Amino acid sequence: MRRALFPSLPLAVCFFTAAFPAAFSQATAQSQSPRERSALALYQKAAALFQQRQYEQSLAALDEALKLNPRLVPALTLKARLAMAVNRFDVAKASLQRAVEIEPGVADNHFLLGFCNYVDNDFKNALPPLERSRQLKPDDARTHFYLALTLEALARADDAIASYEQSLKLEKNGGAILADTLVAYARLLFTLGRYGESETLIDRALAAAPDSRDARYEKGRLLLERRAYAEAITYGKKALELPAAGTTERQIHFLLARAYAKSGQKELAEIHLAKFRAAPPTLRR
Amino acid sequence: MGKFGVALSLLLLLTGGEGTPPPLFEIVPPSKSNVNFVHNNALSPRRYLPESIGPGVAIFDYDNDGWMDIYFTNSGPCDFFQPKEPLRNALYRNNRDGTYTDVTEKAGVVGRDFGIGVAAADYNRDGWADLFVTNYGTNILYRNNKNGTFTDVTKEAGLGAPGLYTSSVWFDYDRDGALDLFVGHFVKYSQSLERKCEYNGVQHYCYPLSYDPFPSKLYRNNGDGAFTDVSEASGVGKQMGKSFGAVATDINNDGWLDLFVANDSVPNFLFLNQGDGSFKEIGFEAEVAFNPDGAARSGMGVDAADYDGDGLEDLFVANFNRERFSIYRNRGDNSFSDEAGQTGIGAATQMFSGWGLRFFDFDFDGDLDLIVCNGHPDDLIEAVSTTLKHKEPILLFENRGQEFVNLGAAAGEAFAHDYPARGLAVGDLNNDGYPDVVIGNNGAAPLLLHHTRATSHHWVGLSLIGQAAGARITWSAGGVKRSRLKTAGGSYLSSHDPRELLGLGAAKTVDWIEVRWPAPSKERSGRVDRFEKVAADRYYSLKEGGKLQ
Repeated sequence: MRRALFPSLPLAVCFFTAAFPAAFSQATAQSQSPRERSALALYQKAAALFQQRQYEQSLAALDEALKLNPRLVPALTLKARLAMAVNRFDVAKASLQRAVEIEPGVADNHFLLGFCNYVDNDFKNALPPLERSRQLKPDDARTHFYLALTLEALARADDAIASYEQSLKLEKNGGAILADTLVAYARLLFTLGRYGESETLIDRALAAAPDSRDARYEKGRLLLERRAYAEAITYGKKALELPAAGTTERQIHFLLARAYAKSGQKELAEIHLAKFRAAPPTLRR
Repeated sequence: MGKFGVALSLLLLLTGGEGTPPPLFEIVPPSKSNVNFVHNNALSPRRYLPESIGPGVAIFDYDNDGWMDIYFTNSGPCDFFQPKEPLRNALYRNNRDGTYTDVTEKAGVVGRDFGIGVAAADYNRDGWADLFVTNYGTNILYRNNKNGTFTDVTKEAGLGAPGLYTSSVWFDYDRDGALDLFVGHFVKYSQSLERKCEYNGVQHYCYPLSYDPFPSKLYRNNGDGAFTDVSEASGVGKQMGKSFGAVATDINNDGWLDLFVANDSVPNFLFLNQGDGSFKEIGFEAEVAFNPDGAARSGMGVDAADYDGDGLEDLFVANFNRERFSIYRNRGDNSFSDEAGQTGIGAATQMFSGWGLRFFDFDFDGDLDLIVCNGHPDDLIEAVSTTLKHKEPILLFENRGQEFVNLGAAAGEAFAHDYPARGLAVGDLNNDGYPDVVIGNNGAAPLLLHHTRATSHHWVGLSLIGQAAGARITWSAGGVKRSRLKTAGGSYLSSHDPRELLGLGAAKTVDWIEVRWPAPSKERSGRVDRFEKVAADRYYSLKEGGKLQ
């Protein structure tokens, strides 16, 4: 029996936006053997194909590159990304493990391995590489964020809170606090029954991203908890109008059905309850 | 010696003078108890769903000698399993010296089909506890013959509908004085409906979402030994569920017993008793059906109790790992608020899959603590997860007012180990007044936990004779007033000691104790029996209108 869960945030947050490894310098390229130079060229071709979303061709080029140079770390990490995209976490983990062994001092390799394990719900094995990534690159907000998610999944709420706080601090230092970080942190506090603190974070998320469906929905949930039903309905209705993100329509209809029912508007509650029941079940826990 | 000196001496006595509290429970091994039962879960490479469900446990007094006996269910022949050796359930008679004798054959309660759960109660009001055994197959009603034996009266009772049944609850839903019977049904199931759920070419138990839901049963006791299937008429059978645990309680204090049913992978049911023979399912309105995001969780074990002392019955559901267990505080308006976050229950249970459980006052301080046993249903889970384990710990939570604190290994050796636990029953096996625990393990030997009496608090035991589910016991000790509703059912596949143990704290006398009995159907409130200055640390029995004895 295996009950896979959706990751707390879209895979795309890290998967498609993470920067590719820096280009090899001309000097480095000149010091390479012909075999290594061919491998590098194949990797560059694979990277271009990846960005064009031609994944099968990209993978074929990567396999060729790795045959010529099995220690080509950028090819290993790109292969891992491709494998994750098709749910071949076994292949991704093997590639990233190899990358970490070849370049143990590079934080990004550890981060990707930890991230891959997290997305695969392998939280216990996600923790060590993320911690190593934090050691190597302590100012990387993204690492602290995924550490927080992993610690939360391992029921280490206090440690997760510390990591969320650190992530927010680093994001602030970097000039832009991400609404996704605030929402994820707020959701943890919600599960701990710390509604006031959760709402403060959600208000900050809404200030940073007024059109965040996730933040609108969470605000609605918090308003429902403190029996502000009319306001909860306003936030729920607005969330429904916004582009889909992590929060599903089913979740929003559930919120609206409860809020309308609590405020005595039975017909509207029934409408949203019917839509809630008709929508595909969410596994979000 | 002054008060301080007495307290210090007591502390030193309890802690052995070294500052480490003594364990609250100790394991009683089979070598001491002679309880040699081992559950056979019929484990097969195909991983048929019923293999992962049992066993249940009952603590009840089958021979009316005043000592609690123990009953376990076991697997048996069915469409996917033909045991090489005959399998049977097990009844152990309490020898009153810490040992037990297997009297299963003599008592005639070996069972048949694939045994799953059990509920004990005196359905025919003859003063002797009867047994209802749920099966994958046809359930069994064993009527107590009052001579140490039982007769299978399933057919004449009209309880023979086949299915995949789980927990059952004896309770008087229509207040006619006779115990009616709820029988939870899990998914629609037969060998031919089994699914393939392979991972890396290996079959695992399938997630219940893979199977279709099925309605449960409600039977009305006709009072003549037979029952009428009122599932449809009552509304209970109109709901398609995947029922595991069930408990009867009164959520709105209207004197009519309601029914809370935990479902796996579909919404939980809260059946509100309408007082006219029907129930209204209000799980959604009551906010106990889904999690706060609208996801149905995997409800397994349940209980109902007033854990916060506000006079309203609260609810508890043990769920699957990562779902967090639910502790629903009754708001007093037929709705509930899940306080798992605020109480610490959520964080403490996030990694576990919970089954048998019970609110009980293990330290006799007057408030209700909690025990939950756990175990991942997939015995192969460790092949696909580094985070989860098949065997999981038993959790003993102390109620500290605003939060429940898991005592962990400090509660005793058993709490430092992991088990494939399922059914759990609480009862006083040695009549010392302290609640012991029996846990049924899937595919393994059960666990007997003996309370070590490591508390200086006092208690009173109350055995209410007759139909008592729904009775409210109120007492005052040391000037503190408390009350408890006598519920029916609860836990998972299991049946508790029917006696109530009331914690008194430091008080050696109960100022007063009052029992409000369930009212007959045409009366608004039941009879109240009240007693003053009741001595502590002993059991009393009470018949409606009688004296404490």
